[in-house]
Amino acid sequence: MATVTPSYGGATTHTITLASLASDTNLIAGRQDTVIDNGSELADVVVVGGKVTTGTSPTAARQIEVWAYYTYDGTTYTAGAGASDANFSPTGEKTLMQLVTIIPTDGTSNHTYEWGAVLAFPVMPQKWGIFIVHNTGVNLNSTGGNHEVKHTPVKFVSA
Amino acid sequence: MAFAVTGTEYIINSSPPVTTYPVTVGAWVRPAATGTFNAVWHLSQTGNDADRFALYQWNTNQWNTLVSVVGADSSCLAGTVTANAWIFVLARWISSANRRIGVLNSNGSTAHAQDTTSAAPTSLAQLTIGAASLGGDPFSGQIAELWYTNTDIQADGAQLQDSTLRQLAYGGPFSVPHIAGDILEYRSFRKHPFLGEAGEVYYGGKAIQTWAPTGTPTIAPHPPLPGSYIKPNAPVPLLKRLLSSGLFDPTGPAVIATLGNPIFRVQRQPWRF
Repeated sequence: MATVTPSYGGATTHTITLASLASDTNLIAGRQDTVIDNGSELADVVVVGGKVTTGTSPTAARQIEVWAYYTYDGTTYTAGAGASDANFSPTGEKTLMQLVTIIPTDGTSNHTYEWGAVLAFPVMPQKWGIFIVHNTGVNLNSTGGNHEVKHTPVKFVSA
Repeated sequence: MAFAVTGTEYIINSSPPVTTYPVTVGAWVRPAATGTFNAVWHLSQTGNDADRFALYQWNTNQWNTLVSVVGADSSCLAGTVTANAWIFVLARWISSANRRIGVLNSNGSTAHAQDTTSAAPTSLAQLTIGAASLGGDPFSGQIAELWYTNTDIQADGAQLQDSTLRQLAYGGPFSVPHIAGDILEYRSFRKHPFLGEAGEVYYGGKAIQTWAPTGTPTIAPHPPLPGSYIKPNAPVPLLKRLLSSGLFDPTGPAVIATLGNPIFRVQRQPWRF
């Protein structure tokens, strides 16, 4: 009898500049990454995650939000996102993206939060990416290596 | 979608499954305005607000786990009412000497409060969502993912832990097994309250509840929730995708699995190829 098992690909690091990302009280002005092309990976499911490090003396009891955007035609992205690593403010359109996770934060300086989630869209979009925004009150940590976004593609194979 | 009310729409249950302490109510709410008294969930005497449990938006721009006895209100106020922003509220009527509220504000901060005024309302027999018993103090805004139990979800009656509050907000009540088992009614309000309820309404150990509308409740955008939010009877998304992947014989025996749900069993049968 055949069985179906997950097959894990290699992890891919996203291009996204989170160092010194400014805080936004309204949780709108954040940073998006360079889009990931699933047309080559052909993942059925994606395990995405990363780390975000707060800055110096952040305000306690705030949050970091992680959203996923994607294309519906290969060119246009939800919430008006672009295709490259850039500041992005989806004013009035943030909920057109998919909420991935909410990271509650404390007042500890330079606190690194490791987050993760499984992106199991009914069908993986052709292209997708990650948007991060926060309201911790101060810029995120200024060292690029203290932040990252990665994903592992998963395919289901019959053996 | 969410249950949208504009001050003239609400729904009434004239035979509610809960009539006394303890009660817990959770809901996402998005008020349209601030500075007013607006009832979200209201358990009262029939057509009379003198004795009641009620989750209220208060005119001080806080959320209120309210109890009233012969018209005398005892408030338990916390959090911030922010217009046009989604807020998760968790109200607990624990005992006649203990009410608590937990709020996940729209900016991610949390707030808690307790009221220990002795209050024992009687003859509670009408449950209203979106207004008080006779349509007074109508809520204007959106209500979604509303659920309630006839228990206190934290057995020691203490302040709800922030981790539990966030788990209930972003994972849903069915993501916490000991709470899921006590739910009397859950309504996602992703669909109209009286149309197309399949998969969006759950009734616990009590009977199916009957609601009567006043006005014409409408539907509106739903609060953003993670893909991991657990609904009561939706098949595991992964299994749905496997079943539609073409890898399996569609005429083979069915597999049913609703992981994380305390009511449904996981059943697996061998596939045939």
